[in-house]
Amino acid sequence: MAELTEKELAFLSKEIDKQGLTYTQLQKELLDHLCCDIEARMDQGIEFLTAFEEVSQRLENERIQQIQEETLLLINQKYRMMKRFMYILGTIAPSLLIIGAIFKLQHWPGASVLITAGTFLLAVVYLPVFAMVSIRDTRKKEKKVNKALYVTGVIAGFVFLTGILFKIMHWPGAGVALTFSVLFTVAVFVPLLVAHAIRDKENQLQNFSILIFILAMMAVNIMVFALKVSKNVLNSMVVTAIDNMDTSEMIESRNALIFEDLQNDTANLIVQKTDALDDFLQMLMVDIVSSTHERNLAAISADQSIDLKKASYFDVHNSTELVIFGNDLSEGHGEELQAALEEHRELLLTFAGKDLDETIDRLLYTGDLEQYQEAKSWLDFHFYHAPMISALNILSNYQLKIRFLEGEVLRKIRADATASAI
Amino acid sequence: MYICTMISKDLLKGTLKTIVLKLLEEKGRMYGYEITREVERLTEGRVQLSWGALYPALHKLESDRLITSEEESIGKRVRKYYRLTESGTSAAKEKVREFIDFVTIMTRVLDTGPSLNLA
Repeated sequence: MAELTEKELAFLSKEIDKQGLTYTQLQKELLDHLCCDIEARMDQGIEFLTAFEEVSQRLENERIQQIQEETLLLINQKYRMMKRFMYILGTIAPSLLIIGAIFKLQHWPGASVLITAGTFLLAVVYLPVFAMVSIRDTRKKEKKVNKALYVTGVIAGFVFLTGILFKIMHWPGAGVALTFSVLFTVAVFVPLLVAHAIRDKENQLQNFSILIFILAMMAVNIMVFALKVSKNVLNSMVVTAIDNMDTSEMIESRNALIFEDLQNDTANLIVQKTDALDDFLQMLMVDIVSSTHERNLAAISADQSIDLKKASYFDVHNSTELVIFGNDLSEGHGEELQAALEEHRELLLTFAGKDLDETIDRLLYTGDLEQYQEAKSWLDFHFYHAPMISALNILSNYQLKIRFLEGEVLRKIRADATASAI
Repeated sequence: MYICTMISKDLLKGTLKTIVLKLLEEKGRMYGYEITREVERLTEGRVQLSWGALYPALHKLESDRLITSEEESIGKRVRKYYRLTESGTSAAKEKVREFIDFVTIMTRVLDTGPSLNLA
């Protein structure tokens, strides 16, 4: 029996390689088959090259790539690998998320990396692979594949997961992504799923569960929006705001005592200006509290003082925005506030000694501030999307600061007066 | 893809696995080229198996664990031999019986006269 030389074998091997097969099991077999064919012809006295030409007809007729595809499809290798991959991912991704959540809770470093990786795996890898495996499963049962359902499902899930990730990481765009995912789910995915569930009698229980799960997830999604500030944080902010108000009142009455002793023009000016700014701040606070909800009017007494114990809706931020930034109907007071604080700072700096300059500059700073590695204006930093209580905190804190500075400057003036009297 | 000169590919499609199983039952172990030659010989050239018909079928049978394979080096190249597994052996018998039943019934239905020479 004829046997191919090494050279001839290498030549044939190259011919098979040209077909671009990736499944080596098949590649080896086809090479052997080809060799056998040629050897059989050579046994009949045909030259290698002639034999090859006869046989190579087969390489052209048979679409080798297609054979591979058909083989792989039949033996489900790709599908099995995908399924295994899916199971592994399905274990890894949630584990990463849970560990990341624990890290975040404990404030250990690395939480963000874990959460990002977990979400990324779920959104970018798991979801599409799950869809592919699921489509394959449906095809195998010789049922029609609802492609639209899968495509919209993957899109909705992807946008939802990215939105959650962005929200957790405080990256910009989270709100847009979450809103879009809710709208898209409600308007497109849920109707498709319902229609599918009605038609697909076999898997009704499964489809129904998925539907319930998605609706529940959406409720959570909406709650994430609603739950802006936790109850504990709200309470502590209320306590701080009340303390600010009480303390600044105490300082005000002590300052009044010093002023009584002094009774000079400079002191008079300082007290007048501080009172005016204090009133302006108080007016803003009253505006914010009362425009939050009409029920909050009960918290404001005739002399414009605020009793926060009678107020509610602390986590609403529309009122802050309305009063500080304004809307189409009314102008906001934010820039006015900033200008007033700047003016007050200038005033104090003219009368305060060098010792106080630094304190005044620091406490009444109204320049840009940094947040998430981004420069923000003083107004945006303090009031953009600020819940009502945090705006109150900031404003009452300014009341406290200007009262404190008033006292410091008055004391300085008194000291100067005493010194010159001696 | 099912190249055959005399017998239509639709007829062959459903029976290729039966043929492979039956051949392996008789011969013990065979490789791809050997199977095509054997089929050609038995049918006097009327059935020529294409690669596209044979190899996907072989791999499918293997993944269904009806046959197993072993590789053997033939000079510088590798040859893959197939043999029946235990479940393959019973499947071979089952499939052949099923097919004979089918032919018997079809003969009766189509009334093609004298019975076919099977066995």
